[in-house]
Amino acid sequence: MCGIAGIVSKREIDISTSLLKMLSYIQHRGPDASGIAVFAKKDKVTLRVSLSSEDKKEELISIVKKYGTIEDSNLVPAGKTIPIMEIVIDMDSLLVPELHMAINKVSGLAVHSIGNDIKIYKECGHLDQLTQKYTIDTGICRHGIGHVRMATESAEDINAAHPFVSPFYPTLAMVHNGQFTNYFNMRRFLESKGAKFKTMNDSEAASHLIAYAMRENNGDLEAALRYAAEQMDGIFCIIASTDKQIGFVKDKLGIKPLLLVETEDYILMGSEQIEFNVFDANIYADEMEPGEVRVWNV
Amino acid sequence: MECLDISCIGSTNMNAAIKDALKRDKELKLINVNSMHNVCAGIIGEGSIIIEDSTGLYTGSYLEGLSVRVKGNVGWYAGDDMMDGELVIEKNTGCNVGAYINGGTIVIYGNTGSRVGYGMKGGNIIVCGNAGRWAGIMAMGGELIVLGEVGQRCGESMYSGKIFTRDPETESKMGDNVFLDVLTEEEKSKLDGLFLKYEINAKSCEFQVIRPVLSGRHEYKLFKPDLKPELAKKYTVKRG
Amino acid sequence: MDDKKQPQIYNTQKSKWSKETLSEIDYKATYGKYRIRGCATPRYMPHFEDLMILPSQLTRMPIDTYREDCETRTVLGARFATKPLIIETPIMIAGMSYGALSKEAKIALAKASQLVGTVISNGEGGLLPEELENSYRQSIQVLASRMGFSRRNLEVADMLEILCGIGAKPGLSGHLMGEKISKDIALIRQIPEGIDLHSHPRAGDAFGADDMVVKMQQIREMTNWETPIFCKIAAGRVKDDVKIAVKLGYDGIILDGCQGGTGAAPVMASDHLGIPTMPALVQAVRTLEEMGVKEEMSLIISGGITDGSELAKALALGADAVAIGTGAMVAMGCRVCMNCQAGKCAFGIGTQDPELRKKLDIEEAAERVANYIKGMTAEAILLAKAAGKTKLKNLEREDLRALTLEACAMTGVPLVGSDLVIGQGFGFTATNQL
Repeated sequence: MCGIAGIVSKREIDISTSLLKMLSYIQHRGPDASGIAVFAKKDKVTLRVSLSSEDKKEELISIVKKYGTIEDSNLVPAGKTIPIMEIVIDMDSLLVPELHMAINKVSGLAVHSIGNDIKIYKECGHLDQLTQKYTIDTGICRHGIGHVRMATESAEDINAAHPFVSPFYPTLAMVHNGQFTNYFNMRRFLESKGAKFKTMNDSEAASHLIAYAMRENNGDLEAALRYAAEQMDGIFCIIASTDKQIGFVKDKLGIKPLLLVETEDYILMGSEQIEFNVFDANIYADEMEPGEVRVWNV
Repeated sequence: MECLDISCIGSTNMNAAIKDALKRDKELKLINVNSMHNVCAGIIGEGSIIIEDSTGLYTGSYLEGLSVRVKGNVGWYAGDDMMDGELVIEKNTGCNVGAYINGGTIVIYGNTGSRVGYGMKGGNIIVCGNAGRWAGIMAMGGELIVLGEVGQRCGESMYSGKIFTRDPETESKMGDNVFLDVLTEEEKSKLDGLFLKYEINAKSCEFQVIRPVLSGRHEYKLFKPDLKPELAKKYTVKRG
Repeated sequence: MDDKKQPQIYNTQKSKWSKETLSEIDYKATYGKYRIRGCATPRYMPHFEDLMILPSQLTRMPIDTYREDCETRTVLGARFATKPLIIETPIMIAGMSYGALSKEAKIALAKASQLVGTVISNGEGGLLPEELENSYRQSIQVLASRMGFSRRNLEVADMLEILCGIGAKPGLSGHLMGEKISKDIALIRQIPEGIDLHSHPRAGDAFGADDMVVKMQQIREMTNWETPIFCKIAAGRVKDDVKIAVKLGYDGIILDGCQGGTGAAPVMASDHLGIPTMPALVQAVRTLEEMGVKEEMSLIISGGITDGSELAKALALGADAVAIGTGAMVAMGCRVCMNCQAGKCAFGIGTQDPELRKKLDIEEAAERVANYIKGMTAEAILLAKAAGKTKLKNLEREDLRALTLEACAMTGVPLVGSDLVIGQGFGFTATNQL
């Protein structure tokens, strides 16, 4: 029901433009929403938050001021959905998980991404709506993930678009193709551990679960992906990435596609062969085995 | 040989343009296909088409009578519900290739994904590379020939049909309700004929065949306990 | 003089003055005491049949019924025990005492547990050596009466059940009539032959929860902190009982609904004491979630569970396993004539008479019970796979819908064809303000 894409490049290039092009080739898989996550390293923490209405702006700023000083802030007007605030903060990066949790506790505010090395842009509708609403940061970096969404069991709302982040491990972003069948049990488990859910989307639960596993095992993405594949039930292809690692997991039944290309210059992951034409029309991708997990260090 | 540039034609008019071109010339070449979906879907008639690069999903589905050669990769569900004709793929494919085919031949020179020949009813599928899991699952006829390795649960719950394999570990990787057997002379000569026609370097004497159980009644074990009685507490305590 | 035929008079249905009411009054008039009867209450109680399971169609994928696996292995008692109990199917055989059942019936049940890989509970009447020999895993009940109980039992137990009461007659003691106390039974239970046994109602070594806290420590010492310790309580004041069980440090709870059966119970007790299994389960799960210990505590429920659909719905509502009692007896041949207390079971199950006992063929009975449990598990797997699960324990309550208004209000599961619950504040939507 969705389409996913992931790029890992050996040299630093403009990942976001390539990701958007890859996603434009699989637009037919997901007309409801789209989103990308890029990992360009900056000195200051960038915070992107969605507000249910512009009045929440004061509340947001007052929370942020408790953790650091605001260097720059920009309010992107609602357009067809809801407003987004982009704030650059001078703060201690160890306090990032706390600030993430503090903002998520307020109903009406939902963190899209927070960190000095992660930026997530997501919007409802077609990819043009995404590019029209935001000026996407084309800073160079070495990896990124993207997603186009066809909503199955939850609402078509901007906060329910992928990639998802979680306060348990703020630099982890994940995209998901498929449907989980034990979402509510997982949600109850994660809420007992302190997660605050902003939507009824099952992929949000998976992002909290993987982030929780990463927090518990000190950042081992492969073990966290295996743990999540064991705990979650249903069909799924997940690509997850932090600032230092990127990996994927495919479910045991092998129902959703995941293709992989590995060359000397780059590694590409995606749902359909057509996405890889962005880089080279002649490269041939391999289909991954059911149950496979692979992680690369960037 | 006529040459069609698909990037100029676009995906909505592609199959109509191919049908038109086939009326004029029986041999056709397609370039700049760029992994489009539904290439050559539902084309009936005689002729041969060569596709110079990769295609997307549902390539050559419901094909009847044509001979299509793809010089790149194909996506999932290629040759789906094929009636007759030939589909030759030079590189790798996605999963569920040759699902429900009624007749004709699909030749894959590279590797294929899982569930190849899902519910196939007739025809031949030849995989020169490795097949994925559940190869030939629930086949109702036809023949699947795999030269490389087969995946786990090969031939799961076949109703009819045959799977020819030369993987030495086939026995441990077979699915339920099938058994391994030797080929008859007729089957051997048919295989050799196919290998000659498609220039495949293999001999039928290396192969074994997987057939569905003769009784025709499938047995399923729904509950499979893994009993370890020796771990009970009473065995660790000395009584007396 | 009046030759006209008298019209036939019919009264409306005698709802109150039925045959049953009249016979009960006759019994009391003859003997001056209450009637004791075997088996469970025959009254209709709201049960799992009022719930439906939602299948997966377009949004979720169903799992292939025959060709793809669904895991049924269950781990019980992992809260504090270092060696939790692992069984192959979430169905255990409930505690039925040697005394209420014949020796052949107990051996057959133990052999059945060996065939499917589950745990059998010994019941009130001591541990029959043949049962211990033949069972896959053995659960020992620690009751107020301690009939036939000694330290040796603690050593061989894979699981302990400390009994507070059973669903059929909560708050009462055990009953075994003189007809069933034969020489063997009297020997094992360490009581005289031929008496009418009314056992101890309350445990003599821990009066109340405050003493029980210390007693828990003692039992943990005795079992080396290895064995899972469960608390068997009858469904009544479920919320308060579950809270105390959690605070006392048990590894899990066995909750017995009032539909449970027993060898002999007063009619008034089984018909009018306790609450049914399904609402008790919902209340217990709600309480465990409020306390934040749902993941740690194991919850087993029993009382009127007969087939795989009830198992699947119980797992969906939040149980970890179920226990079958009367169902296993029916598989062996019982026809629920409800006369177990007389000891004249025509099938050799609920009797101590040597002639009647010969009618039960142990091997055949063991195979029948094992087949029953396998079939029940297969039914539950079928339903779970249709709902898209690859593990039985992944069933969740959002997969259920309620058919009737009572079931909807009792459980907090939305009414069929909607996502709304009638009566906010009941079942899973309760805020437990009281």
